This record gives sequence, structure tokens and C-alpha cells, in this order.
Amino acid sequence: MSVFNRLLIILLAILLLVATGVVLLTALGILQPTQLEPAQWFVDRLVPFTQLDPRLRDWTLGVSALLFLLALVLLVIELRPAPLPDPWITLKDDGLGRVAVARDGVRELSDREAGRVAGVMSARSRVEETPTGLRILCRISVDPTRSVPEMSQELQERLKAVVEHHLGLPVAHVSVDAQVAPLPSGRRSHRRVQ
Amino acid sequence: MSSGSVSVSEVSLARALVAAVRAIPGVVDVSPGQFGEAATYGPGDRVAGVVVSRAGGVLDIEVHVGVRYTDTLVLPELAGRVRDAVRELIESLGAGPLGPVGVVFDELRVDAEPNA
Repeated sequence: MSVFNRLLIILLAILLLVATGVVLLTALGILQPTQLEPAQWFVDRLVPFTQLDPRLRDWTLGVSALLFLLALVLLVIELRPAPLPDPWITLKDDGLGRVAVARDGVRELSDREAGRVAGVMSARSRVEETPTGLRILCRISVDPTRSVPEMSQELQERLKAVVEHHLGLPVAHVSVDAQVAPLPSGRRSHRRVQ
Repeated sequence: MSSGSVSVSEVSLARALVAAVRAIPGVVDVSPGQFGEAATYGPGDRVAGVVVSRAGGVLDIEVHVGVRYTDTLVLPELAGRVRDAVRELIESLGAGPLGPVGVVFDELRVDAEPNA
């Protein structure tokens, strides 16, 4: 999920929490709308919740409590930090024992190989394990005078071959995110090759 | 002449293993692990890079190594050579039955490209 979508959900969850919380407190009689006097808009909307008949009041409390809990769960899920990836990639795990390699080392290898491709000025990779093999995501800054599709294709083939050779694990996917190196005018463009 | 059993302490074993692993072509050195956790402990002693433990009399060994990338480096093959060296040493010392031997490549040195 993109950062924007995540922020949007966090914002909506907070709004829902506040709104349902205020409605709950008002319907329970704990909060008087007049206590929100400076914000007349809120007062006008909260007054009806102080004049509910018992049946409607129960429904209002039930629905508000449900929405409050839903917003709370959403907020906790979105604010929870993502789990850190395992620092090792397992190459083999059989009866003889486990063979593993540091994820950072594979990333550095990937960066070095990307830097060997003509036209690549800098590279930063990420390596993930998938059920079908490794997935390499490589962000590169490229020479603007070079052909990005050709460079990307060479990079994909090179990374797949080198990583498979050294690690003995299949590389299922190499994703290249190319960014043309900043020109003197500061204009940039992005191209992604799957 | 009477026959008897030979007992080798985990720390002594770890020390011998470190020397054997360092002698393997392709291995730069043993590694203390990414968080310094890979070590064998004895009374007032600590050997980094190899974890030796015994479970039910069976030796459980994990070797942490640092290697340098070269075009001929194939990690599973190097892991096989490390395991062979460990097995040979354990057998030569008669240190007891050997269980799984884990090999962890903690450090993979990538030499900087020379500037053209």
C-alpha cells in the first residue's frame, strides 16, 4: 500500500474515532454539546443525540461503539511497524544442516553487478524471498545519453545470472526502477521495467 | 594397555574448527555473526565464529564465515567444503557423533570497483 493511501486511512480512522467517540459520550450523557461551544457546527449536530428515544439511543450507542472499535483496529493496523525481514537468506536446509547467507551481502553483490553495466551511475537493491525464488528490486540512476530499455534488459539478465551462479538459488524476478541522472536543469524522469 | 574414551571440550573443539575453517580456500575468516552472537563459551573463555554444542551426546555445530566475492565463488559448494572440513576434524579428533553442521555466510566482501 502506498504511503498516501496509508496516511489517508490513518486520517479517516482518527476522524471516525473522534466522531464516534463524541457521539457515544453525548448519547451517554457524559458530554454536553454546550461543552463544545466554540465550535457551533459540532453543537448543532450533537444536540439531536441528547434527545433520542430509548430504542434509538440503544441503536446509536451500538452502531457508534462498533464504528469506534473498527476505527481503533484500523488505526492500530496502520500504525503497526512492518516486520523486519530475516537478515539471512536460506540457501539450503537439509539433514546435513542449514546453509544461509546474509541478505546485506546479496544486496551488495547486486549493487556491484548493477554498477558494472555501462551507463549505470549508481544502484541500490533490495532482495526478497518468494516461494518461486528470489526477487530483486534494483533502483538505478542512469546516464541520460543511454537507452534505458537496453540498459535495463542487460541489468536484469546480469543480475539473474550472477546471483543464481553465486547463491545457487533461482531468481524469479528482477525489477528495475531507472531514474535518469539529474540533468543540469534538474529535470528527472522515471521508467520501470519489469 | 587399556582403551578409554577421549573427551574434547566444546571450546577446544571450536578453536580447532576455527583454524580448520580458516585454511579453506575462499574463506577470508570466521565471523562473530551479524550481532556478535556466534561464539562458543567455556569457563572464562570465548571462541568467536563457531558455535559448538552437544545435545544428547551429539555435536551440533554452526560455522559463521566471511568470504570475498570472486567470479568462481559458489556459496553452496563452499558450504560443502566447510562441512567436509568440519567432519574430517571431528572424526580425526574422535570427538563424538556429529549432527547437523550449519554454515552461515555472514560477511560477503565486495571489493570496490577500481576507478577507470
